[in-house]
Amino acid sequence: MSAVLHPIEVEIIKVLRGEDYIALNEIAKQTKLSLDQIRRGVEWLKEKNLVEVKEETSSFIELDTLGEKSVAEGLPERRIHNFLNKRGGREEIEIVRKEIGMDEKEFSAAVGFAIKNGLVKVIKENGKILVEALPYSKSLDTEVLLNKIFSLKQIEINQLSSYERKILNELVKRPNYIKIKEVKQITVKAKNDAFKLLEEYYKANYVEKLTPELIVSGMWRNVKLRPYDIEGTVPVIYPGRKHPVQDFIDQVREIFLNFGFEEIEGQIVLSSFWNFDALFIPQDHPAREMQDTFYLKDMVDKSVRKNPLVETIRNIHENGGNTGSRGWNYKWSIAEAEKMVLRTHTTPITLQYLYKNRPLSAKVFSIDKVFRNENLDSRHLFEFHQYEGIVTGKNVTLRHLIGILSSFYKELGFKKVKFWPTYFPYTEPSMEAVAYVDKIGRWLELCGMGVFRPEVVEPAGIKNPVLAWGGGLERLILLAYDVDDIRFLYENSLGWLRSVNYARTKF
Amino acid sequence: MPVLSFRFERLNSFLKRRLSKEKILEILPLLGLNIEDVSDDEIKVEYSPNRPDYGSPAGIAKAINYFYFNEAPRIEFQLERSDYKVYVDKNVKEIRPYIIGMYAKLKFSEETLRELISLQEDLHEGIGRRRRKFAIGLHDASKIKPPIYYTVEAAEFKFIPLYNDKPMSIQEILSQTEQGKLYAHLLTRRDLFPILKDSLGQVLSFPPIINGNVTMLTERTQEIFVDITANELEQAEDALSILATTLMDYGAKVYTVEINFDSTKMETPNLTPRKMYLNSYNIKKILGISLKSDEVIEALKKVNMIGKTKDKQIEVLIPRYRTDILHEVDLIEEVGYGFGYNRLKPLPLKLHQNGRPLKIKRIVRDIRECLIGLGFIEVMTFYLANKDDQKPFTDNLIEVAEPKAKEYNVLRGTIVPQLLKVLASNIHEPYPQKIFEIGRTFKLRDENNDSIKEEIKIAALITHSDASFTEIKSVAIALMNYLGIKNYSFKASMHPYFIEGRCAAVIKNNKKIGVLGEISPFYLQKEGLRNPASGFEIDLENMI
Repeated sequence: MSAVLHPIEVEIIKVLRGEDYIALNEIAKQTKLSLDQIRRGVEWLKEKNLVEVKEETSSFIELDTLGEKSVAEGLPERRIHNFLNKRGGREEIEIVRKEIGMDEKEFSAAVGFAIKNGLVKVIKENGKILVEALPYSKSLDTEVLLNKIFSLKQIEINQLSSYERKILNELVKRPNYIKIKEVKQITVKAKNDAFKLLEEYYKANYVEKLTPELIVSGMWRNVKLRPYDIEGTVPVIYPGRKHPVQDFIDQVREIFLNFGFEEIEGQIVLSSFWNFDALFIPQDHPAREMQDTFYLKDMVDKSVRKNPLVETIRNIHENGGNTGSRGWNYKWSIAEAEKMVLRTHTTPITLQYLYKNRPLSAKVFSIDKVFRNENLDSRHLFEFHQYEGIVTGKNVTLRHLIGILSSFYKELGFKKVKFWPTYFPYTEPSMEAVAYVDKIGRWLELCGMGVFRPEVVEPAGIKNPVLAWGGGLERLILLAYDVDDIRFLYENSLGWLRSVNYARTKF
Repeated sequence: MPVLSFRFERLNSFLKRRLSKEKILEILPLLGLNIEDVSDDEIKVEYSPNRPDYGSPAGIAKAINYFYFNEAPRIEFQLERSDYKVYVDKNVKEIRPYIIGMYAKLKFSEETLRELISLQEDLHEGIGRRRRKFAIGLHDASKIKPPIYYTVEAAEFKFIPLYNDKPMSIQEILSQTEQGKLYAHLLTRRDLFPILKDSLGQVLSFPPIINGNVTMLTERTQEIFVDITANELEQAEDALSILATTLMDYGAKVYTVEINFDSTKMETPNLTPRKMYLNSYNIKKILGISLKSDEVIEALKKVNMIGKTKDKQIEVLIPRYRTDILHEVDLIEEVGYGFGYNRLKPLPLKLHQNGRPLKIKRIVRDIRECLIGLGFIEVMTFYLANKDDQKPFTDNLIEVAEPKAKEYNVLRGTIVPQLLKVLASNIHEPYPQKIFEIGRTFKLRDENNDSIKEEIKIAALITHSDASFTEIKSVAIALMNYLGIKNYSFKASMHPYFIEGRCAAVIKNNKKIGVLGEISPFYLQKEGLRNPASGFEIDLENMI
């Protein structure tokens, strides 16, 4: 420890006068330091043997509940005395108790005190027990002390006279009358060496800043640089940061790339033709209604009518076309197909990839925004992210899909994953993956999956099975970040963005 | 997705042998049913819209009987004829041409009635597409005096509709009743309306709107007449076959009725099974399991289908109520159900390929890293925005129709207004605040063309008491140098976001690729911001 005084120590010593021990609160009042700083400073001074520190425990007495009550209403023995005086001086003991409204225990204690203090006497007459008031006009010692405590609110025991202390001991025996508080106080007295060092400090003339001049000229050797309070608080600064949703996207993306998938991306605004019809979703399917899908106002995709694929898709919907299917058996309308929508899933983009490339084998993925016409609430967004993967190739089957998804979700952090059969209009067979999440103690739906129907992939010239899976990203993010309200992810609260720790081990 | 609630005991009453609650909960997901909620004695399941036959506890129980108790498949039915004949007036041809029906004897209970009506509603909502495809009428046959007439009436025609006690005209029914208001749009004409009545003139129904009160079903009903009217026959027959089979699952005896059109006669319901062919080779191709023909046939029995080998294929007879079997792949899925999806063991995928990220994502990552390095915090806002916020800055806004979240009614043409809103919601957070977003914006490709250009923009804002043009220009230059962009310059410009005289266009190869400047106090005050702010928005593709 240096013999050099710290600015905090300087302030403390200035306040300490030779003889007295001064309490820390007092020091705080007289300097601009916080109690925290003072405590630290005193510790350092103690270590340097420049001060003496005493820890004193003082006892303070206060009124407890019954003590307060007796100041307001009178001690029980006083109330008995007052009651009897109003009654003409004497009454049956049981009636007194009932009319005052005390229980037996309290009453018999009160009668005991009343007798002891000379307020009443108990007599037997005609087989009945009576209580009789005695003449008594002055205040009881206990009443006097209670009133004193009441007016001062708190008294240090050392301030009481020895007689008062005797009365106090009586009162303390009665439960809930008196509260005793023990308060530790630290007091400090400076030693002579402290004042010597203070003088030296003033003479030393510390320098605040190490400047280029001091460095270059060598004058730094001749000055003393002021020491710092290294435990003091410093300004909070915030690093630039990636949005947690983006971070999660990047993690999922990394898993796909590690599995050898090719990344693709596509348009957000699509014709119904691509978003629905090419995926064999019939035109009267409820999901196509404005209640669930965003249609663009007053806009159609003019390229649809020019697309030769349209007739093929029409036939497939109406009667199965050349796919060996029965089709949906309804009249397909091109006006419906050319309406423009905000894509409701990323599947049309992967389908367009298949049409464009006609691969014999491929592994493709995308993570991007999709839209559903919903109102914003704690569980729904109208705009959110979907992750999707497809695999196609010779000898690629549903069992391989189950296999790859088990690995995929394992990478993501889900240990217990199960697969159940379900239904989607454009895959057959279809399944869904669910995982048991310990954090929430239940099964959570992860994604839909399946093999694309021939009505979807045959017009694209794909002969091998196409496995596909897709799920919503936000529900996983909510789980990873323990956020309840989905809207919060896009509230962009800087408080959260600046402080949130990225979810690394998630579920 | 449709849901169904029922007591375990109710389900058990239809099962071949009683099953424990635990067993039932184990079996249901293997049939493709989703368990939504379970209480001590009741269960709520969600079933897929392609299996309307799961719309009653009797239907589900039947499936369990085939699947778990190996009950012999039942797909062919020899139905007796009833005495019911329906005569179709030629005038109804232009309005709502098709009607089919059936007659059944069943002792109803309060529970059976409730479940049948629930199935009817699910059929209306599901494959009926909210009654657009067909409308089902259920009638207490004891009140009917056949033959039945499917005819037309004018708007003033009166009868007592269901749940009412006074006669109402068709006009009044359409405008005053709940069903009238909901379904009036399904009627094609406003002068003549389809009406189904019996030989006494009693009105059975006014399809697709509402039934007549006279034939209302009660728990005391013992015979039922079902009618389904439609504009197309296919889905109506699907619904009738599901109702017929479900009634039989409830223990009813179902009879056919005769429909007399102008020149033809039909006997309905027609429950002739469908025939389709299945290849074991395709089962292996899709499911990844090798099954011998007899194993396939065993699996099909469990889902109530009958298969027999024919040449190298399996000829499958499919019960009429299975309206979801469109292609061989649907049969393959059924084999999967019969085999047991829980028995499919995963296989590792051996398709080797290198992972290939999109090139543009690398550039986006570089931009993100540079801005983070400069102390900016990434925010993410929506592509959908408010028209009034976007209007001052973008022409030809692309609007969406009837958004449920009404303030989000256009695709954004620019990001800066949304970033200003982010700052506005963070006025109690410490300053300085530096935010950025890399995201898409939308605009029309050109004025007359209905084609949309999707662009990627980089937008950033700085705000604090000394935010300035100089500061943001330094950031833009640092970013472009970091990315190795050459040939860029700045030119004084005007833009509604920015203070006049403190705005620059970012130019590259003589093309404007972005704007930069100090935000106009008009917008600062409007958003409730107190500090100056500066920012930029640059088009990514043009910048590279």
